[in-house]
Amino acid sequence: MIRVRFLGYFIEHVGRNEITVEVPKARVKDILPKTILSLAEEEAIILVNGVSADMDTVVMEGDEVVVMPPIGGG
Amino acid sequence: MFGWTGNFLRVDLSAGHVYVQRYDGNLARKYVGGRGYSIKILWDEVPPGANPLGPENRLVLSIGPLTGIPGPSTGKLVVAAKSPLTYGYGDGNVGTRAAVMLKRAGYDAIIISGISKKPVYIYIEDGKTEILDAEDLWGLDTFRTEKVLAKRHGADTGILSIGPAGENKVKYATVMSQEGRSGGRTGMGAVMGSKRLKAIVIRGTREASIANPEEYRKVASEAYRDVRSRPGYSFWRRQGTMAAIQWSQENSVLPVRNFSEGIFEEAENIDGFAMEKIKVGQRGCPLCNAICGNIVGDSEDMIAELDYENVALLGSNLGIGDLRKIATLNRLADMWGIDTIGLGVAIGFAMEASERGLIKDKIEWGDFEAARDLAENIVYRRSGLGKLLGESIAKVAETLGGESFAMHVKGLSITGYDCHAAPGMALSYAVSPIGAHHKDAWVISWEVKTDRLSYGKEKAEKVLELQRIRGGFFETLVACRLPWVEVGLDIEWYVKLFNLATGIKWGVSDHLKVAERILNHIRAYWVREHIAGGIGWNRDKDLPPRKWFEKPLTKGPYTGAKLDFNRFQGLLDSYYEIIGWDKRGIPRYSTLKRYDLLDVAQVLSKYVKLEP
Repeated sequence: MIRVRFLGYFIEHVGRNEITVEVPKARVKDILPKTILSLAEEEAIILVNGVSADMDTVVMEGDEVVVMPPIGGG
Repeated sequence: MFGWTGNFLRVDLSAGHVYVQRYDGNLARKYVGGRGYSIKILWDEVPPGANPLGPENRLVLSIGPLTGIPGPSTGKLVVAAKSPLTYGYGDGNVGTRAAVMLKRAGYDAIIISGISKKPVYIYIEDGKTEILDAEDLWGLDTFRTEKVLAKRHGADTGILSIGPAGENKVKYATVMSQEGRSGGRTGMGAVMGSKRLKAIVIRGTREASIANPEEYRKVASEAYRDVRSRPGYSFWRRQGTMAAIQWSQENSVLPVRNFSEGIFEEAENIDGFAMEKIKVGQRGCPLCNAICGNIVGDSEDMIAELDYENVALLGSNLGIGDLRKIATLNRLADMWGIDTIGLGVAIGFAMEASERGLIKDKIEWGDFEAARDLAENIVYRRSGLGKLLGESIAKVAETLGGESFAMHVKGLSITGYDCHAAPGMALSYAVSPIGAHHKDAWVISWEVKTDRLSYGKEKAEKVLELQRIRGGFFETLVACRLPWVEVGLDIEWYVKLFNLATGIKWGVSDHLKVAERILNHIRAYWVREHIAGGIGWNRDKDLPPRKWFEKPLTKGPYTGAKLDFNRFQGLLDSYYEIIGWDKRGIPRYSTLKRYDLLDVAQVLSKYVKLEP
């Protein structure tokens, strides 16, 4: 199982905080919901197990992906 | 002139004298407004080496050509002076009705000099300005002060005031407005207090004069609509900057226990979703349709405002994981008129000093009561630790020791991003025009998406690019950068509005040239003031805090990360080279010439030999 969590306004586009995907191995862009794909390709920050990654990073069973917009804090 | 009023209001508090000065379009084209006017006035008028809390310092409140005219988030002003915290250039921006009223009263800036013999406030109503007695207001907090003045002069006036922190010249006292809008963490409240100026009340009734009013209104409403249509707009209205708590936690940059870690074990209790559970309303600045002040109930049954910076610095940075208690600290800071960031760094320093046995006082991580008591002692400059912590954290460390964990650049406290694993953001703090602050180059969102741990030249380029837009373009217009930063509004809207307001035909590059001129002028000011004031100048002033080089992270995916000293020096060299400064961080003669600052070069070369 690969866990994918969403942050910020991506939550509203996906409709939930997280999803799980049952594949042994995939690229990040292949497991994102369609509702977020183009927005994510344009501007998402991707972390895999807390470390900077990108849409082409290959993730495996047990990994955690976080997909977040480039929000600011001011 | 269109867009601008062409008027400066000058108030000499020593003489009790007020007059209006006309200025010409050349100054407007060269410096635009806000921060641009501020540096020009401080450079020309404050004698080199002057005491920031003396009569010669100028307190400059300035707006720009877009301020006060309906358009996305144009209700802000810049408050500037020589900083008593850093002894260099100091400013801050604040969203307030006073900004709108200043334009309507017919002024682009108020320039205040001298020191009044007794407490006063300034009342401006269009062409009439009075200096009025403030004995009855002295000692009141900013919320109370504003209530009294609104009752006296009308609730529709724009009011700026200081609280006890400014009166007591706490070096990071701010200028407050509308119970939560705060500006000038470089000690602008202390400068105001040193002049015995309690408040400024402005009523303006005139229409701003703009070149193409009909088209302006049309484009402004399209721009407002564009703000609302952006994909992040609805979530921004829900959480505002509070969404950044979770973001920073995930990216290991949330300040924790005096910037020792980037991950807080109680982050879920203080993030945007926790805030939504106790949210009772929203507040914001005038002329903004993306208001971001979150109003919550605090632990003392009052209402308070929460934003990312104050929760990061008064929450995770102190080990406090209770949002209502953090809200209480924030409300008190706003009432007292003290910078929440500076306060969080001061208390965090005290907690670490206590843990290390450097001070006798027992102040443990997460101890809300101790933090609250210490905050009050700082504001009222009560003897001992409280009195000392009212100074810059650099001065505190000089006195007590603890330089290895004093979190500042040039005396200004670090804001809400830990940089153990973010060299680009560390550079942004290091070369910010006011000391450590994120407003000029919040580069970290870009940095975590790239080769995060790199010290490559691209990071220096990005810092400068953001400094020009955030610190130059928005700080001169004067408009809030957040619709651009947070919801992705295109800056072309502002360029269009500028052209329609002023009748000038500029592109983005013209604005960015002004921005670089201002960055260079501000750097010249730092060098001149530090040399003339006997502090001296060297490139070590552009270094981030020692802790990020010396004490690695011990938690999370970036465990073991710390900044590399030699590689950081290389990054700093890259920045100097790109902006046109020499190895000492001093603008080259040719750079000043390129930005039409030969007069500045001539003055600066009396203090230091400029490289060609």
